[in-house]
Amino acid sequence: MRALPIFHLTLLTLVGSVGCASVSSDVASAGYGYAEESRMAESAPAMAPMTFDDDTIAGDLMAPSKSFAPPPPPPEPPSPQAPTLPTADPEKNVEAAKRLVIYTGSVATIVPQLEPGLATFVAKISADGGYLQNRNGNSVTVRVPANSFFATIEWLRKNGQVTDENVNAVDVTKRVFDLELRLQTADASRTRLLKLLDSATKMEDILKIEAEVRRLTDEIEGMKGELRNLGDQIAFSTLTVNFFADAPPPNPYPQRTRSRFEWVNQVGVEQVLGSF
Amino acid sequence: MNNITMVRMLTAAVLVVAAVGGTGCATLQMDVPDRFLVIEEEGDSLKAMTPEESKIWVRDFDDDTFGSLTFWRDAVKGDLLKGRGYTLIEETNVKDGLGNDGIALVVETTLSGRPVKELLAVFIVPGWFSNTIRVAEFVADKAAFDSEVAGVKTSLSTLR
Repeated sequence: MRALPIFHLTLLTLVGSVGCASVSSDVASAGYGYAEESRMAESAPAMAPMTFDDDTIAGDLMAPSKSFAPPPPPPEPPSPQAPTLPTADPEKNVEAAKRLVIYTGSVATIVPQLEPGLATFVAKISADGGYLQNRNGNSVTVRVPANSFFATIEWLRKNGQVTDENVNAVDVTKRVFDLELRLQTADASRTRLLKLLDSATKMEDILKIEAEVRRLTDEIEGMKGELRNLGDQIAFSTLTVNFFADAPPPNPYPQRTRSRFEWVNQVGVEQVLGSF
Repeated sequence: MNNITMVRMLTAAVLVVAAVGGTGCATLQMDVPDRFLVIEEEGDSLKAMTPEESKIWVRDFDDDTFGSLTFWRDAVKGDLLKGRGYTLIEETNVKDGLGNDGIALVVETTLSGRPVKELLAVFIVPGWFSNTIRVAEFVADKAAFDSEVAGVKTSLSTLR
């Protein structure tokens, strides 16, 4: 009977440690300090390696980064058991953080001919390792490897007359590392709970532990899914391109006044194509 | 006035009438570029087209007002550009196969969402009782137009 309060205390401590995990301090203690202000990298983003206990997650996130330009030397991966304390120099912490940025953009461009121009663009995206996500009329949405994002826009500038261009960059570095650390903490907690479950004998305790394990499992799966989604968005930028043919705008004078000279009314594109 | 004089005057009158009548019945002729096939060749109209249906249409219109080439150039330009919203790409002076002066306009417009270009040449053929406004038009989708226009311009100099 004396063992029971100790068991409850242990269980509460475990659960509490999961719920109270301080994200910011965890991030800092893992040696991934970074500046809070958003910084948009001019060049293609380099994806920092992520370490997970679950190889599936790590694989999902790391796989797209193979197509990236060789990133600078990665920071030391965090260790859940012995987190690295941040250095006293904040600049070093900022340098240690590798920006994880989701790029999206839209471009309107005039090309000499609509269909050939559109087909050439899609072929170029495919050759770069991207893919066509959606086509709606003369508007296409493509996913391009993040390191090709700005090169793709530059290609559009060279192969058409870009009339409108919007680029949006969202820095998700903090979000990814928060998730990563929460995932590690939750996973470690679940492992410890499972060990406790093996040694538990009282039905009430078993039920409580199992309920907590289920909650943690759901939470872990949710975080894994969110990390996969973020990894995909980081690795593949989304670009929407609206193509226009290199032609004057539609006839702004549909109700024209007929010429006073009848022969003039009988010439022109409409008359030749209509009366030929 | 003796008989000989009367015969000479009558002969001259017949020749003049024949000449005038002959002019009116003359068939339009033009050496079209190789890829064009003449599909219709009537008195005052000539039609030719390519397999892709790029079209050449030459027509004569009577002008009993004897308007000048400059006048008709301004009239047709104003109608195409201001009245119909065409874009003027090029304007050049040309001559037909008879040595008549003319102007050639290259214009562009959008028809059913696709870019279409036209070469429109206007010549003034002087006449006794009226001038003839000879209009040669070449219309095609933009890409086809660009590939054929040089040949059509050359053909204008054979128009007679």
